[in-house]
Amino acid sequence: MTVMEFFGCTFITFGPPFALFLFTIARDPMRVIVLMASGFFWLCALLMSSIVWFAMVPLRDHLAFGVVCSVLLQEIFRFLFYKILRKANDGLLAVSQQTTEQHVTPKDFSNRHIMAYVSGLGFGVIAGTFSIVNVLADMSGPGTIGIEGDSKYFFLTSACLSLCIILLHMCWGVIFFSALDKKQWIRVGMVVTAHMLFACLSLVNQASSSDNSEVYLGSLIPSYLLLFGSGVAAFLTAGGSLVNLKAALICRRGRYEIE
Amino acid sequence: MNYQGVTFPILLMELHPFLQISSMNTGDPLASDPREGSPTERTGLMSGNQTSNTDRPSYRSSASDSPTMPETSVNANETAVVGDSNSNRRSRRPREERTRPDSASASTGEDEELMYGAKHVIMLFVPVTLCMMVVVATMSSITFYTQEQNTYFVYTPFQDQEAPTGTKLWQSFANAGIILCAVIVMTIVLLMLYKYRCYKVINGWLIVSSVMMLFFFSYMYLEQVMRAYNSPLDYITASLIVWNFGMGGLFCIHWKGPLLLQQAYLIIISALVALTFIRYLPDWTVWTVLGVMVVWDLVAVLCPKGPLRVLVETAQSRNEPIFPALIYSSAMVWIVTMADDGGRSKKKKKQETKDTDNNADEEDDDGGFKEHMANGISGHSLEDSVAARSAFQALGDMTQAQKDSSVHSSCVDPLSYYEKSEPQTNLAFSESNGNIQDEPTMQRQAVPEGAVGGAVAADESDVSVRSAKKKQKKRARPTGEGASAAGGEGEPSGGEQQRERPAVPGASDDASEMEEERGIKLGLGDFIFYSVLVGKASSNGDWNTTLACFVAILIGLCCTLLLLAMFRKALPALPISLTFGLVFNFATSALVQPFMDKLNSEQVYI
Amino acid sequence: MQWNSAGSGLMREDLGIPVFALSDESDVFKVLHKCFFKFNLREKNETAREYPLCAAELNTKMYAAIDTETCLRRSRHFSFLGKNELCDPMGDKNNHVTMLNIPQNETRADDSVIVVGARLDSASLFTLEYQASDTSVTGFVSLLAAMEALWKVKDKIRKTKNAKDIMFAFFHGEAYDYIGSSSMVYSMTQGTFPQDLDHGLHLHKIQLQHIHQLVELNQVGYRDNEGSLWLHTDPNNRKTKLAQIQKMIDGLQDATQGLNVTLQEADATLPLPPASSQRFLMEQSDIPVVVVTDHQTQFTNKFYNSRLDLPELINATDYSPDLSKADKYDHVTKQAELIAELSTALARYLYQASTGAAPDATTEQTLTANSSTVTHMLYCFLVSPNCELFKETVSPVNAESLKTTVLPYPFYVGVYSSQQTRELSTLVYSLMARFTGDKVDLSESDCKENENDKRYSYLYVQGTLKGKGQEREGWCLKSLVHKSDALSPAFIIDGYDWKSGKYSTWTESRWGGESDSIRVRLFLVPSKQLQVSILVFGIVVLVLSLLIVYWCSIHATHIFTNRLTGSGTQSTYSPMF
Repeated sequence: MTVMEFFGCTFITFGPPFALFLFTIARDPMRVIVLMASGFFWLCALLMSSIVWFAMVPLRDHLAFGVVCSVLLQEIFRFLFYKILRKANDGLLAVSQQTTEQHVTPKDFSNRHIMAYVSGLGFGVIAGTFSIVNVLADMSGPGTIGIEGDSKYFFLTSACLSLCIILLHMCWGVIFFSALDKKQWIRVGMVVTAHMLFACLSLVNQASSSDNSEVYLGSLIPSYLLLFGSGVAAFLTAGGSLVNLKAALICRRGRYEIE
Repeated sequence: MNYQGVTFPILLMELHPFLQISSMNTGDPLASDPREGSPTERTGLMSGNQTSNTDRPSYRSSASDSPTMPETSVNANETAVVGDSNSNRRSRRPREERTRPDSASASTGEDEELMYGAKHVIMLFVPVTLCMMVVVATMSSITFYTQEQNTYFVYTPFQDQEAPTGTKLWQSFANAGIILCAVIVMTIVLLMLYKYRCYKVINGWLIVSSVMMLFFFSYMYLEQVMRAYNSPLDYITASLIVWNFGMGGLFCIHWKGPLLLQQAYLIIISALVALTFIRYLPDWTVWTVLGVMVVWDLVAVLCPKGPLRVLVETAQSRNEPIFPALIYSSAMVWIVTMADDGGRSKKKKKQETKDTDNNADEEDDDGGFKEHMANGISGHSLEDSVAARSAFQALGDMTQAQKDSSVHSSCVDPLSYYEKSEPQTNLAFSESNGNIQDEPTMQRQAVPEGAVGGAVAADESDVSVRSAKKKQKKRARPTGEGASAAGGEGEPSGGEQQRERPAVPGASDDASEMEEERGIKLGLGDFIFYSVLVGKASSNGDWNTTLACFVAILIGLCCTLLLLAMFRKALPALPISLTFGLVFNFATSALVQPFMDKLNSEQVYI
Repeated sequence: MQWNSAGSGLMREDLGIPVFALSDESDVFKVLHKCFFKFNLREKNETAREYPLCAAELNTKMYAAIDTETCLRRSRHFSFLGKNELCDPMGDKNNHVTMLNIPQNETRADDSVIVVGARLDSASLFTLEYQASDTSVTGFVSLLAAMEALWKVKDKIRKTKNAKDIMFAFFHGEAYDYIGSSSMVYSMTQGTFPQDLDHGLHLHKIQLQHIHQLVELNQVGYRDNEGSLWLHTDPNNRKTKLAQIQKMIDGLQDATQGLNVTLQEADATLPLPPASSQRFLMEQSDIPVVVVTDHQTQFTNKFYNSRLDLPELINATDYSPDLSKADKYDHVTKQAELIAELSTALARYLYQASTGAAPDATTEQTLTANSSTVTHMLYCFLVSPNCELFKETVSPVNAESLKTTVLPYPFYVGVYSSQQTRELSTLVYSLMARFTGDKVDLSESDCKENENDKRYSYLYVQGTLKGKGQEREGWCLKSLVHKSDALSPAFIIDGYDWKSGKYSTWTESRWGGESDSIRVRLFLVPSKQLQVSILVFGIVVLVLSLLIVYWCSIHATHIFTNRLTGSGTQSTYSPMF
């Protein structure tokens, strides 16, 4: 990958999460910590799934098995993280800054959703980073991929899919936590299903090659459709609505303040 | 290589790993006597805090202005001077402070500690992350630190690269054992020196080690950077750069300088030492050493007779900060803000502090250096929030007084005088330079000090601020003494204070700026070993491993801080983090990496 | 006089780019088929291939810069990491053996040593890419064969009263401005040759005035159509020592009688071709010198100091295709026969020159070089070092590394090390010990230099196989063979003027460590268009997301408000939930 490609792909993958981090997380230490902690949980999930994959010697070459295991484990760990977060509620409450409301926006964004969002983003960032960082590093030299017959869009799709999974995790975090809060098991199941769907979709990528680049569309388009769906669901879960959005678009600052 | 033999003992000085969180406790409830134990509870978070209240009874006793009584002979002179100059000021402070409501303080005491936890965690995250980033960036771009070589520390005589695994294993343990012995010996020597008050020896030792690291290691680093990028650099320029860098570092660490700069230097030093370790320890030995250090850290900090613990306790009983060059004190964020605020504060305060100006000027001239000396040897921690507060004020005044003059100029005289003593609980170690003097009277003089002390001072300042808000009237009386150590910090503190003042009466102007913070101290040894772990993890070229180690270490740090909050005593910072880090390093490189590689190459996402 | 008109001087050219030689077939295949043909080769009517194109990145990092003086000065600079060496002087070890055993307490008459020399090394443009079939191998193999022949009659020579001593010398590093010979000459002038010892019994020193004459074998592989070799002399040398030189030439020509070798005297006006003798003449111009080469004016060898100086070209590998490896080893090649004849002639001449009398018939019969030894040596040096001759002749210590060696040992002199000797020099030393030494009955551990008598060197070699097993006899060889440093005096003399050009000042740069190692990477380069569009897309994503998120975070209150109030979870403020 050339320098330009490198930065291009880096921006694609990490631009949106960076923006989210910068404006919504960085200013609240508690959120940073939760972000790190959820990342840690994802790591544990990955470690578990690696062990499973590694232990199942005969299935090692069939990625599908590892992928399914991994998805399930990730959701289990997401659930564990949820449990721990809720358990630790009081303690964390005490640890976090009371002054939060003064300087962190969105302020009155439902706080439950905020932590759900943060932990979802934590999952996403670490998952996305793990899937792209070695690709970026391996090829940060002067060349690009393809000499072994890989598609020249390998990096671009890798970056886009990594971004997709980051945002998906974010949305799933919100939906998942809220569903658990309200005991809506169906929605929990939907999250797991969506995750599974995404992972299995990406199995299609194996078929890509330099002559066969359009395979990527087969996974990219559904993935982003999924992202759109999850995004809408998360948005609604978090208390957003089209009306609100419109209002926010129309409103100017001055009017807000009146409210 | 001769130099190795020399450097290592010196390096060891930097290796004392323990976590000190100084100022988790903000103002005490108005508890009359800090001694009586209330402070200690709060301070619990700070493992190593010297400031433990027990010693301070003297402070509390009276509100009277009596000139500071020097606890330690060293400080006596300075303090006296300060005291005199400041006497004028006392009057001013009390007025302001008194306005504030007392009520809040008592109830909030404990909560506050916890509330500040998250912020403090971040305040450690940032420098630790920076340090790791420096190391990892170096490791991945400069081959010098990764390539196999044949020169190692003299401490690692076993370095057979070709040996079978079994041999390598025992050799690495033998090496680690030797290193551990060296560390133990150094620690004990240090402890003995400290116990028998050979401050000059310790200081000399620290300075020599700083010189070594700031000049030699940085030169080495520069050389390797230049070589890696194949860019020629003449010796004159190189020596100029190194000289300036090194002298700057010496000043910042051992005398005074902006806190930010001091922190940067400490981070750089840690990174350089970590890189040197990675380079000169045989491959396997690094891992063993990390493992051994975990155990050592546990023993040294937690055992009743553990050397580090004894050291910390001794320091506490003497009301002295632990050697500034060995400890990183947080407060970065607000330092920045403080610096910015400085200008503003001046304006606001002008009127208020007119009287102080004179004092400040006087103090300035000589105070800085003397005080610095004092601090270096035994900075007095500001015990009370009050003291801190006074420091703030002092700074504020100072800034006004000398607009141009260095912010750092250590002595600000403004004395904050408070009638009620605030329990100084939290700053366990106040590494702060501010000397705590036992004055029979309640007055304490806080002079913002430059380098190390700064952090402490800052911490306290926060405390003070809070206390001020919530609590009763205090008089801040700036005294030369306390401030002696931390010129750098003084500024920030001053800034904050000013902000606070407006806030107290009415609404706070800037919510964001209002945040007050107490510092956390983390031994440089922790920085070093964290970075060694992450750097070593990055040397095999897999970024996932590096990342996993990074996350694991930070989470470990979080857990340690959590425990700190629960147990309220000095805790070793290495064990949890390093255990997490080691586990994730090996697990990731052995198990996760093949899995992820396969997923990545097939572009499968999970 | 330009001797090597075929030479292009490429090796001394500063190309400014790294140049790699790929000798491994699979490497070449990769470059051609995975890279060039697939991505870069243009069809006849195509103007240019579209991106991605295949590119290669060559990495050779050399630490030294400018010249030897500069880099040595920089190497001496103090560094915290110890010495930061950038380059090392080139050089290795010379080998020599004397016929007579004259200890230091006896006298060695002036003009009493006949020196016979040859060079060992060749230059090399690429590391491990070397062949020096004619450049040096023919010469020193001839010399070794002559040595073997001559030592068969050593007792006769040694018994002859006033016999002149004969010294066989093998110079290393000659391709780089005569490092070996200038080093030897220098130590002769310093009185430290052949041994620099203060105590114990050692060999009497040899100085320039002791040298009676000098015969040098140069390239002798490419004989012209007449199959003759040429005897070169130096015009200045002729002026002072004409009679002796003439005598030498006559003696050499006489020695060829009955042999399939002709030695012709080259044009007397011709200067001496490039040869180690030049160094001796430079220091002392009245030593009679004759250089034997295969050319009169121009080099007949078109690949002097080149990696194309292949054994095939001098008929050193004229095997019939069906020969097994063992047969190839034993097959006496044409070149081996020619060299054996030459060696025989040389041995006879030396016998005659030393004793002053022509060998009698039986002696003459004995004084015959063994053509099978010659062919073995050619095989071992040029085709595969993993051969029986070398196996017999190496010490057990080196046997392991020999086993795994496939390619011939390099003829590049390399950098000087006081501790180590390169394979070529070591093997020549061992062969010399084998040809000239006596087997003494000592075990491997006892086979070492005698503290009191340092004239002899002892070498333990594997020896021949015992019976049919794998075990070898093990010989302890006691001989007069010695090594001496082949290091240019420029690096020895204090305050040597680097600009003077008197001695060789070649140094070799240090290379990068493991990670800077020499490597070639092949990869595809994407089109600028693709790169730029990815970058722009990335920046757009970044900026857009920054804007959107910022906007959202500002308006979050609004966007999410309704639910919030309705949800009722907010009765108490909780930062977490």
